[in-house]
Amino acid sequence: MTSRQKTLYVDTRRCMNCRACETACKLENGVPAGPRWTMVTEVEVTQDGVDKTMFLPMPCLHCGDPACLKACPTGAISKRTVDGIVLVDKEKCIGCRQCLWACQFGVPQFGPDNKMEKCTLCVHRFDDGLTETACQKACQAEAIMVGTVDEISKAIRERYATSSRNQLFGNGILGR
Amino acid sequence: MEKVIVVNQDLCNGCQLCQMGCHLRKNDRSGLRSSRIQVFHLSGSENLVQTCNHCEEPICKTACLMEAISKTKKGLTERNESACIGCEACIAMCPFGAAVLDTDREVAVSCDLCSGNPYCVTICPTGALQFIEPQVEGLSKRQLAAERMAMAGRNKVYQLP
Amino acid sequence: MFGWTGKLIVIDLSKGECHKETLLEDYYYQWIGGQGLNIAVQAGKLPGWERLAGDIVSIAAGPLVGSPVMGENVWSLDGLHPFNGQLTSVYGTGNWGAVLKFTGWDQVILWKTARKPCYIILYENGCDIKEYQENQGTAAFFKIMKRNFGDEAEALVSTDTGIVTSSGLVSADSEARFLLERRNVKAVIVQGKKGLPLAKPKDVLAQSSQIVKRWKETGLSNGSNGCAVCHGHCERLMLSRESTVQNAALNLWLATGSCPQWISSGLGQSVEELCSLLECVTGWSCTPVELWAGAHRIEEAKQMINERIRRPILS
Repeated sequence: MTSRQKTLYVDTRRCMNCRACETACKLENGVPAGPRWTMVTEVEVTQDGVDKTMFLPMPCLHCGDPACLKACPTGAISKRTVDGIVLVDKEKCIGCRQCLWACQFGVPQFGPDNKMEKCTLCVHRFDDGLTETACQKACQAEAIMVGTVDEISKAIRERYATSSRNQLFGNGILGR
Repeated sequence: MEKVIVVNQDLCNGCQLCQMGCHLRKNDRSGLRSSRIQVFHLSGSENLVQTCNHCEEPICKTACLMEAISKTKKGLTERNESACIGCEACIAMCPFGAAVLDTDREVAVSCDLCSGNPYCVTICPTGALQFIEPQVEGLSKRQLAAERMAMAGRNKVYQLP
Repeated sequence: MFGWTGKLIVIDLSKGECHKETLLEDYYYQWIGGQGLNIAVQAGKLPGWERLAGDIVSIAAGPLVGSPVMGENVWSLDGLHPFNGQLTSVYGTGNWGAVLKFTGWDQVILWKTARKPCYIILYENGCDIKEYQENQGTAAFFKIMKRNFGDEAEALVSTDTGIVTSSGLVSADSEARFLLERRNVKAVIVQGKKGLPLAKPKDVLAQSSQIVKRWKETGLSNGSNGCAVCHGHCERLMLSRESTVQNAALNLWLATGSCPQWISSGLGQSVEELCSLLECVTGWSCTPVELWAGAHRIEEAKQMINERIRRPILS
C-alpha cells in the first residue's frame, strides 16, 4: 500500500504570479489581513546562463516528520493519520512562536490574535467530500495539484504522455 | 507585531557572552545563574539558547498565584516584581526555562527586552541573536526555502516538455 | 575588591584537605593575576608561601575573565613537567575560568599527589575530593555533574586528546594531561553560583559592545583567519604549542586573561585597551608601563624557575 499522505504539487513553469490562489485561500478560510497561508514567492534564478524569475506558491508542505510538531511545547500541532495533514489547535496554542523558529519554510503565520495559523490543505473541503482545495480550484494555469503521491504522479504522467503524443503526431486525427 | 529576540540556534557557538552580559546589565554583577537568557551546551558542539518568547497566553501567567505577570498592549510579558513572592511556580511551568530566580532579591525574573534595545543582541558576535519582527523572520525563511526549492530538479538532463 | 575575588584555594591532595588563602591587593597589582599568580607562587615570590614553591600545579584565571568581553576567557595551568622538570604553561578558553571566578576563587593550587585518581569539586568556601571512576566516560561525567550542580557548573576534564569542558575541547595541549595526571587529578568542577562584582558595570558593557562591533565590521567568519570567537572551539588553539612565542607579551595576555590567539589576529585588545578594561573591571587605574613591568616580572620569574630546577621530578 502506498502512502496516504496528501501533498501539494506546484509546477513552477506554469505559475504566472497571478496570486489567485492567495485570494481564494483568504476567502475560503476567512484569513484576516496580515497572515498569508499560501504565498507566491518570487525567486530569481540563473538557468543555462539566462536570468529569469520563477514563481513558487508556498503553502504548508505538511511534512512527514514536522519540525513544528516537535517544537510545540503544548502539543497544539497534530498530524492526521488519515491523510497526514498537519493541523494546529488554536485553543491549545499559547503563541510562543517556537514553531516559526523551527519551521524551515517560514510557514507558521500570526494574525491579530497572535496565535499560530497556517495552511490546512482545505481539510474541511476534503471532509465535505470535495476533491480539490480552494487554491487548486482558483489556479487557472493548473499549476497546483493536491492529492496523494500516487494521484499526483499519475496526473504528471498523463500530462507528459499527452504532450509527447501531441509532439509526435500533432493534434490531428492520429493524435486523437 | 512587536520585535522579539529571534535565535538562530545553528549560528550559536555557545560563548555565553549574551548570558554574562545580561547578568551584568540587570544585576550589576557578572555571572551566569540569574541571567534572563540561558545558553545550554548540548552534546558535541550543539548549543541551545533559551529566552522569553513573550507568548500570547503565557503559561507563567496562568501559574502565577499573585497575578504578578501580565501582558502589555504591545504583546510583551511583563512582571510586577514587587508583587512576586518567589514561589518559583512560573519557573517550574515555563516550557522554555526562560524564567529564572534572581538570587539577590528572591524574585522570579524574565526577559523584558531591555525596553526595546536588548543588550544580548548587541553583544552577540556570531549574529545568532536578532531583534526583528516575527513576520520578517518568517518571510526571509520562506524566501530562502523557495530559492532552494526552485533550483531543485533543475539543471538536469531530462526536461519535461 | 572588584574583578579579582581575592581568594585562592590550596588543596593538599595527599591529605584531601583544602584551605582558603587571601592575597593582598598589592600583590595582584604586581603579578596581575592569571598566569602571573601561578608563576609567582611557583617561584616562591609571595611571602609566606615559599613552602609551595616548585611543588605545585596551579590553575588561575586573570582579572578580566568573568567579564562579558570577547576574548577575555583564558585560564592558565602551570606546573613543572614531570619528565624534564621544566616549567610548562598551558592555557585554554571556554567558560571554565569565568565559572571559577563566579564560584569565588582566583586560583586553584594543587599540592602534592593524590593516592587514587580523583576529581575536585570547588564550593564557595571549600572543596571536596572524590574518587574518579575510570570507566565512567566523559559524557556521563558531564551529565552527572550538570544534574548535581546545575547548568552553570563547568568542569575541566583531562582526556587523551587534551582538556575538555562540557562546551567541547578547549585545549588540545597534551602537556596539560601530564601535569594533572601526575597529581592523579582527572577533573576540576566549579559551580559558579555566586557571580562577580565589577567596578564599573556600565563602562564594561559599553566597551564590550564596541569590541564586538569592531569585530563584526571586519567580517571575519567562523574558522577563517583571525579570531572566530571560539570560546572553546578555536581552530588556532588546536595548533601546536610551538606557534606561541614565550615572551613578555604572551605573559601579559595570559595574566590578564586575554586569548593570545585572538590578540595575535590583530583585532584583539591593545595594551591601552587592556588598561581601560582593567580600570572598568577592577577599578585599578594602571598604565601600559605598569602592565609591561608586570609582564617582565613574570618572565624573569619563569627564567628563575627554569634555572633553579634542572632535575626531573618524576619519582
